[in-house]
Amino acid sequence: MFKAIVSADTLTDALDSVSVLVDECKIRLNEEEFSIRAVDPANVGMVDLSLDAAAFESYEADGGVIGVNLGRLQDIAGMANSGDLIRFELDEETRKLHIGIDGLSYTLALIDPDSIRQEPDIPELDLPAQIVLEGNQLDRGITAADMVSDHISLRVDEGSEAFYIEAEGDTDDVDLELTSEDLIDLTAGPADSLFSLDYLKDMNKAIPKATEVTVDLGEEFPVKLHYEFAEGLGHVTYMLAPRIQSE
Amino acid sequence: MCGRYTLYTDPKRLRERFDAEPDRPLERRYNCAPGQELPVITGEDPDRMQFFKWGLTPAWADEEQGLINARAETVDRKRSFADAYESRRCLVPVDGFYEWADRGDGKRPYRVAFEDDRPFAVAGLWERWEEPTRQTGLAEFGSGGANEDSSTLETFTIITTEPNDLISELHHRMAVMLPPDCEADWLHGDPEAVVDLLEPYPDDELTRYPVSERVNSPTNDDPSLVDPIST
Repeated sequence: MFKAIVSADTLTDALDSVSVLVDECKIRLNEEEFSIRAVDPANVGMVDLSLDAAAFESYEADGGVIGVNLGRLQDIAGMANSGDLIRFELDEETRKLHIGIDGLSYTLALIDPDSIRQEPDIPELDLPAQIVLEGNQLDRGITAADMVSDHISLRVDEGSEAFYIEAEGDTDDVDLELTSEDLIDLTAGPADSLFSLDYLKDMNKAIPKATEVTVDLGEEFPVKLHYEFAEGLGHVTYMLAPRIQSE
Repeated sequence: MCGRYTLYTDPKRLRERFDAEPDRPLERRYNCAPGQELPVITGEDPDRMQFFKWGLTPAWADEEQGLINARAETVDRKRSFADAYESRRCLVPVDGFYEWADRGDGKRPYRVAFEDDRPFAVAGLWERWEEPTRQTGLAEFGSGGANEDSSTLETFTIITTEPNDLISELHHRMAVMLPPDCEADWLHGDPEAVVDLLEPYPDDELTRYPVSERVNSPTNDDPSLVDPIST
């Protein structure tokens, strides 16, 4: 059973955060929350999203799992204006999802969840550094790095208590220094890892610029990026595997 | 350009001809194409036939380059090839190569080989490239850190020169074919001296004949590809 009403903005924020990594996903319709966990086909980037029942105007679910084509669902959500409400009702018999937006009805055929890639386990990581910054600071570093390279280095300097976003191109380099005074918070620790900009750019697209982003970082370890949306009732964690130096 | 060749000589005969042991079983090949791992004999290890990927990537490159041919006239000074020319030359065992000729009604493939179909070596260069960084997967971090394996790619390119008369009617370049008594010189000789080996091979003993257009697709690789067809 699944019956819910949610604002178009909240739904769009949720779907956008997942669609940057995968085309199809399983949605877990738990009693207390709507959640998605997915990993890209190369097993490099992962997203873990939860949207609390309280983020919906109304929400009734009993723990079912549905499989959806995210692009199709985004297209439907795109038919709503900002501030519109979107109604969902799952037809258990036909395994179709009825979606209503301001007089428009759409019946979405679901995908067999067993045919979708298995949800990943989240690796247990002990990441020694934590940086809390604004989405637009991260966006600035990623945008600049993308001008010169395909890779981006995220680094914490324990001595100077600063976070660095760096990129080295064939001819040009980029270096954004964010001191502990520029940041919302910094727990300094040994942290220096290189990442593919293709992935990080996609994740960055989904991160609201005005939101607070927490970055957990280690040395040649995956980075975790967390942020909240839907007034703190939605949580996204991205995890991205690093590129490591060849021996 | 030399972009496709054959190597279907009996594997035992091939081992004897080059006095080299293959690293993996030799298969009869009728359509060797760029991007494939094919046998080469390097100056560094002349007793082995190693399998390198056709399409050279210089050691200093940031990403794969896939250079399948190098021009004899400039190979000693082009940045992509100069280092390999100096110290990483190789023999590419071959028993014929394909060229495409424009006969007015589209390009048609021809096979060029010795009249007795004997194997020979074309002059090549090789490189060992290590990806500067390697993308890890999240699964590697479940316990401990990432694997330490680096991604190494061994590649080769074939040197081309002006064509001889037989081939000039088909194409404006041909692979550098080495006479057997010059093969060791190519592998081990002084770079300034071996440049003299990069000449068109005389056409007296060579033959050319049209073959099926099925050779156009690298996915076709069977004995019928080397059968002559009537035009």
